[in-house]
Amino acid sequence: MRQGALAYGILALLLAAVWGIELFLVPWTDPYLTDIVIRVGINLLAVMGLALVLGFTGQFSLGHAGFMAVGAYAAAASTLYAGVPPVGGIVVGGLVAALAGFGVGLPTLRLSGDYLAVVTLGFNGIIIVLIQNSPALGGAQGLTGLPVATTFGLTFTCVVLGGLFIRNLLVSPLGRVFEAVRDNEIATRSLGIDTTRAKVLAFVVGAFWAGVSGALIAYYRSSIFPSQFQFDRSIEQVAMVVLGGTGSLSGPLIAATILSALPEVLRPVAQYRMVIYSIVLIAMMILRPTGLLGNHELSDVLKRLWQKRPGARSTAA
Amino acid sequence: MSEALLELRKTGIRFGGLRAVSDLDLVLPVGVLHGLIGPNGAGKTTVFNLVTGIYEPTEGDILLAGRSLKGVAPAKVAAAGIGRTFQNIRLFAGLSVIENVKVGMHRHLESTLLDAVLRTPRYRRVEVEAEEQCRTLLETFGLLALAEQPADSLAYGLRRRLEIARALATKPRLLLLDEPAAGMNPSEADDLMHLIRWVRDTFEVTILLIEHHMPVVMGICERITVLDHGALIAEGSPDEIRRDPKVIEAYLGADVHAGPA
Amino acid sequence: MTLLLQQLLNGFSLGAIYALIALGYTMVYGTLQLINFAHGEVYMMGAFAALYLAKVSGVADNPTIPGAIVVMLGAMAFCAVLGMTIERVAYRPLRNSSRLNMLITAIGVSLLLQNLGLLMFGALQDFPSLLPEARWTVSGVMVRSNDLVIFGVTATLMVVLTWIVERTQLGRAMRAVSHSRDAAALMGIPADRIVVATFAIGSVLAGAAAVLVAMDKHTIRPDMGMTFGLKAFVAAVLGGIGSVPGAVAGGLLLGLAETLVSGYVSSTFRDAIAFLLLILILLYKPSGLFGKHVPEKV
Ligand SMILES: Nc1ncnc2c1ncn2[C@@H]1O[C@H](COP(=O)(O)OP(=O)(O)O)[C@@H](O)[C@H]1O
Ligand SMILES: [Mg+2]
Repeated sequence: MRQGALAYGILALLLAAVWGIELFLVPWTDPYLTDIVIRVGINLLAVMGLALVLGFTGQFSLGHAGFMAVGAYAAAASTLYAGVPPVGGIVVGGLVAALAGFGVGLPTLRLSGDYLAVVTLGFNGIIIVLIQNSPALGGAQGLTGLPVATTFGLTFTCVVLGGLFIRNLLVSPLGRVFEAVRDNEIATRSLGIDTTRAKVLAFVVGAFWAGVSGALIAYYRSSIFPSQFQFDRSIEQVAMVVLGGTGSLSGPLIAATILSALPEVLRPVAQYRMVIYSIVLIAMMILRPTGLLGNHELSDVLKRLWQKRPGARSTAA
Repeated sequence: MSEALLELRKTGIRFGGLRAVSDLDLVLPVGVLHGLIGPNGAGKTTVFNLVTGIYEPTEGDILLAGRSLKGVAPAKVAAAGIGRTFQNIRLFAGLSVIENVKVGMHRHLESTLLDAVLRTPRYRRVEVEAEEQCRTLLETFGLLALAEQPADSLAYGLRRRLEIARALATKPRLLLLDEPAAGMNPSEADDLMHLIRWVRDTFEVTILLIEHHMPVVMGICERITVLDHGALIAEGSPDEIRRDPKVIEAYLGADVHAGPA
Repeated sequence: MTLLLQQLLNGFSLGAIYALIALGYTMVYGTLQLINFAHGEVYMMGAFAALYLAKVSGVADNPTIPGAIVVMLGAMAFCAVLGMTIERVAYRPLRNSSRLNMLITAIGVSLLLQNLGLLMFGALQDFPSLLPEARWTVSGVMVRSNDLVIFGVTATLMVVLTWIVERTQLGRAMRAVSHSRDAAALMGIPADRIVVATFAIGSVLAGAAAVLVAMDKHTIRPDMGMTFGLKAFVAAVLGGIGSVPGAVAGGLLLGLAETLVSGYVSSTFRDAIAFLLLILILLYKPSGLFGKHVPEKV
């Protein structure tokens, strides 16, 4: 009883904070800063979905940006061709991306994990090729003339909803099953659990939030291009999850925040960005394969630090 | 057909040229505690893998309460009421002790994606019930104090116990235990064997047990099947098995009290 | 009819290249159960090494058959060293970690090489003729000397590889390791050395493929190994991952499918064919055309 009320209380509080900032802070903030924050928020949405798929369920998806593309173009098409308003378009984008996730995931997730990496990577490439060759979707020149609706408030409303959605899912029985699949799929099956179904479910949820993230991009600058959703974006997201910690939700979100703001700060070394990413990725796998936070959440780490302080004093005395 | 819970009929499997199990007949009446022994590499674990659908038999058939399990996927076999443990322990290392057991119970929890995300009253009720049942189970296995510890922090013997508790959480009719006492000292093994018998009586499960600690196997099993080179060489009561010359010969040279295969 | 013959010729030519690269994927997968994503970049680096060699040795200005052979052997040797280095530096420290970690590392190595290539070589470079080129028309079908070179080199390498795998001590050890690394170790086979040899052989084949493609296309790019490598991996899966004849069959099948589709349907969807085939084979015969289904040992 209390627990459920608490969850809704937190939701209301977070949304109030988001809209408070939107109404009272954003108008007086440097638009350049607001721009960075919105881009971070859009990345957070995609990365939380990937954290679920890769970090918690252990499924190596290399085409997350492909689902963003599906969401972005589905939203854009629904607005341009059917007059759906942006908020509806965001839902459409999420749902169509989820459907795509189902179509890609069902045949592949039955098999050993390696195939998923290849199929999702291929899917990312195919989606781009299809868009580039589809006149209705604007081809390589992209789609223009979309309404601008992606504000700080809308972006972070989605981030809060997505974050609570995934967090609630992770601490639920289904969340335990996802982690069980990651830790030992054979044992999970031996407990009567349909592991393919669990994997597909995680995959579909991840694709949904990637789709929402893509839809927000569609309504941000009134135009979208296929090149925004290429493979390097998928890799960047994998790097964020891996660096933040597989098996943690807050870790990847912290990593995503830092890594999406970093290029803005470090513009001069922009051309070395991918080189740095790849070296960090390799070094991390060899030296600290569980990432920054491992499978802990930020709250655990803070709690432990807090408890350590009086403890440390008493042992010293 | 009357009382047999599990029945293997001329079951066999080959891996390339190797016949890991051949022509095996085995009948387990409801409620029995049946031992499966044999030297290392005899095919005991393979029998478990055949029954649980991890391998599909290349010959013969396997019936659970009269229904064929041939070609049935592992998850469906488990859902039909067969729980098992693994010779090389397979716990969920990233989950706590109690969460491991809760995953075992998952099939019996009615809670959907939307329940979880929206925190419905049903979701909370189901979680509270699961928590209670799992705690009771952990208490039975002497693991309650460790409920919140990560599963991979447990000592070896406790991991084996946890794996049994997790399998029991699926509420099986038939429980397959693959060397549950491996790596335990004789007194721990003895405790575990009494626990297993107590589990059989309390939970009313049928148990098929692979074990190398001969004194305990002989002490608690009602019937014993002996495999060698994938084939049945003897079946009977512990006394009959003890005296069977074929069994003695199969074990000759091999230490009867040998550790894990 | 002429069109069909032309497509078949082109398809076999492309398929031979896929097969050469697919062999590297399949052999490494056989021993380590790792999709070596960096294999495509080894192939790419082989092309740039060949370009450098051709310029330094003067073969670029004066194409001859011995010169071309020297450049090709040089590129193959370079790739062997690169492949072995990758194994030693990036993969060996992870021999006992999870498959996911290995896979992420492989992606990291692939990205690293590709982006280093971009920084060092720019977006693309011209590749000179290493051989005098000629083309003939045989009853309407255009046959290029490059096609013949591709067939000749591929066939030679296949024969050598088959001999190594089937007839030598090394080949037997490789097969033992891919059957079971633990069992091979018990039999006294030094698994690490076999793994290194596998990387070397696969990389040598990729180096040869790189020179063949570069000679044929006359441009090379740092991202040439990305999609091409991935498709070669798909070819390996089509044939049955881990199977040497499977990689060859899968490569030829994929080459034919791609040229036939772009010839008769539309070249737009050429790049999608590989992944459509992949999804179909995963749905209907996950072990591939030549692969045997081996249940995981529990
Ligand atoms: N998936 C498999 N592939 C090949 N051989 C296997 C497989 N599973 C088991 N075997 C072989 O079958 C034989 C019996 O093994 P097992 O059932 O594990 O014996 P144990 O009686 O010690 O449990 C062994 O020779 C083993 O190597
Ligand atoms: Mg065994």
